[in-house]
Amino acid sequence: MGPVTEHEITVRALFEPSGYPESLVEKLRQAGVPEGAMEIRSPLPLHETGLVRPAPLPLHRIAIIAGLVGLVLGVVVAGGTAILYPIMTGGKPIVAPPVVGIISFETMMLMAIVTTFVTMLIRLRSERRDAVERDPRIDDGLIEVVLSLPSNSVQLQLVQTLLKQAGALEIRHHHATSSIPPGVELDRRTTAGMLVVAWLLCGVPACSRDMQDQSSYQSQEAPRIHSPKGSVPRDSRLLRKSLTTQEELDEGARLFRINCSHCHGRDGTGNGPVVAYLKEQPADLRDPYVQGLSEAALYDTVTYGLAVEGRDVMPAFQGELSAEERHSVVTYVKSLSQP
Amino acid sequence: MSSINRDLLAPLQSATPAYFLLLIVLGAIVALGAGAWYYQVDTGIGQTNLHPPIFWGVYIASFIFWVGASHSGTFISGVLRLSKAEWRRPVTRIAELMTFISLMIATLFVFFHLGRVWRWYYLMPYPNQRELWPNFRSPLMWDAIAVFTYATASTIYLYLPLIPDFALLRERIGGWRKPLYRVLSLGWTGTQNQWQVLETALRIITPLIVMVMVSVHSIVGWDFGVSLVPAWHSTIFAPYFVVGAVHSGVGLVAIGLYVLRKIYRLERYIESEHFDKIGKLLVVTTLVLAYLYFAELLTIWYAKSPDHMWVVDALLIGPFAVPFWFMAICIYFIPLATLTNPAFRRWPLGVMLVGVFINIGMYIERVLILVPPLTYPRLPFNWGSYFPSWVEMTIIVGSLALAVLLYALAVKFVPVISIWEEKEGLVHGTRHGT
Repeated sequence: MGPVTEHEITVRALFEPSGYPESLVEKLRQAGVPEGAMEIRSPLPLHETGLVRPAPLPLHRIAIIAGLVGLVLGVVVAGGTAILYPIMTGGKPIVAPPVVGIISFETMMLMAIVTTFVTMLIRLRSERRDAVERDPRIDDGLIEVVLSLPSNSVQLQLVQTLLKQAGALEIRHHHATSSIPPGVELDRRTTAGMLVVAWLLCGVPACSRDMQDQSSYQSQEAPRIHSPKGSVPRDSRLLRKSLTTQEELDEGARLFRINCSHCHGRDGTGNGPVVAYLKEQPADLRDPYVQGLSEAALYDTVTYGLAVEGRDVMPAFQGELSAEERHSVVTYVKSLSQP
Repeated sequence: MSSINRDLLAPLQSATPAYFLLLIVLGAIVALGAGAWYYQVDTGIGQTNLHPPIFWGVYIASFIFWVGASHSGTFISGVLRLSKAEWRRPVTRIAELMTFISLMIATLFVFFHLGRVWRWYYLMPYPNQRELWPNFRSPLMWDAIAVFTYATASTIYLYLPLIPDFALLRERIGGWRKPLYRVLSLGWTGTQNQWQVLETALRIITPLIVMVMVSVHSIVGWDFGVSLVPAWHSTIFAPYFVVGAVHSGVGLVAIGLYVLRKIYRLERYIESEHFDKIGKLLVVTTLVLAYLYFAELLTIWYAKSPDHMWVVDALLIGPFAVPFWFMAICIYFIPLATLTNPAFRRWPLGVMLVGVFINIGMYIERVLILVPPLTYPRLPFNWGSYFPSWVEMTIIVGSLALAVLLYALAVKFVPVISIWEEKEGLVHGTRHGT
């Protein structure tokens, strides 16, 4: 039905469902009433009775197309994710057809159903917002024929006669005044209000303080977590007390015999039992060059070993001896200069 | 037709003190459940008794149960609409409402199960600064997408046949509900164009939603089936889950039909004929489910693979034997012993009670699918045990109360029987001389 204009008159006729003649619509058509000006309102779908030809709507085709779009969407999302983030899962191909199939089946169905629904909604909303209130008697089983005719036409007489002949229980006229019935304005406001509330609700996740609370460091922020007590040396070993006790010397000597003497010899002169098999001579620890090194330098050598021209000549002892033990060994080596 | 209007609108127009009392009691239980959930969120997921190796407990079992329960509406309504079964008319709306509410409750259980629930939206696939994107190869992701599709589709499916009824309510019911009905009825006047669009949309969506229904519980079944856990890794899981879902769903419909008929005196609409048909459906689902269960157990038993047998032995003669056999009695023996008798099927209270037994049994069955296989992982040093904590049990009871509460509220908002479809049935009936 087209929009209601100022010069139109609405004719409404109520019929008993049993008395509604199927030929009425055809007769009205012959009387020159255009297809778009006729409307039949009923409390349930009418299938067999003579009908106004409904405007065609290719809902099936729309559903199929939407389904295909959904299918493609599913393939792109599931397959595309797999291509962009190629993670091997249980020896399956990167783009696994069964997985893509399952996802795209669901998206296909979702798109088809939702699109059908939305199309239907749009169609229902695009129906004329009729100025005529719906007759409550329709819900009790009557059928109403609503015709919009030019108010000054001769057609009007003819149509009324036809309706009477067809056995209308009641015929009423209605001058179209405003195309917006009462309540529609309220309708729109309620709808708009609900949409605004829904939109605001969408913003609720934005109240999350996740971004502020995230655990990344700010620049120059002090460390939040400290190392366990004793795990970081707080005193430089250079500042160690220079006095050596006899105990430390004895301990150093014992460790030297176990770890060092097979190369450097028991007296530290570099003539241990394995020297014959070595490519590099072990250093004589009593040599002034060695004795001239600082305790720190000796400690480094014991800790990290020694490489000459890229070849390891002495192994590292940091895994074998604790820091204390290495200190003892260094103290003992230093004491070798006083024979 | 005016008597149909009067009878079916009556539940919406008045409320007895008993109704408000029911609301208060249910509301109190829901509040308890909400409190338990608050406690769990506040103090951590450790309030559940979930622990390795049992990482899925009653929350997930409840999720499966409620998703299964949601198959009531789609199966009864969709399949019967497709097959143009006339007796569906007073049943469809009751069942569709159940679908809608069950799915809401099922979704809640996903959130109950989340450890840090306030970060739930991390799971959603949208471009974000966290650079997180879901892995679609996970069956849980299929599950999320399928349940979302199903929830959307079944909401639409509930809403479509409601539009003409909302138009009627807009005319007949005043007060605060009127503007709501006015919006929801979408300007429905009952023109032929509108009827034609509505019927076409229903014709398109009905077969689609039946397919979605089958896919949803298949995917829930694959959550288990595609894993390598003994007694889960089975090809039968998808059809088995779907049939089980329909079994419990139809049982729920029997309960709903009985209660609403009793309270709102709908005996003229919901006749013993309907209970007879529901009973027949239940016999079919019982037999199919029993057949699938037997096929599954026989295959495991004959292969005698030790890791599978630990689970089966625990079920049949071990620590889970008592719940297992109780479940078998509830979902197989009781329906078969009663509903195969035509006289019994015409006894509404009896069919309703069978529905109650089936649903108790099916809930136990969901727990038994989850817990025993997790209790007996392949390496025996890792075996565990599980019983829900008070927090879990309170939340479960609370959510059951929430489901009933929502249903009780819905009854005051939508007609429990589709009014126009009932009228259509009346016209069909007189026309075809039945």
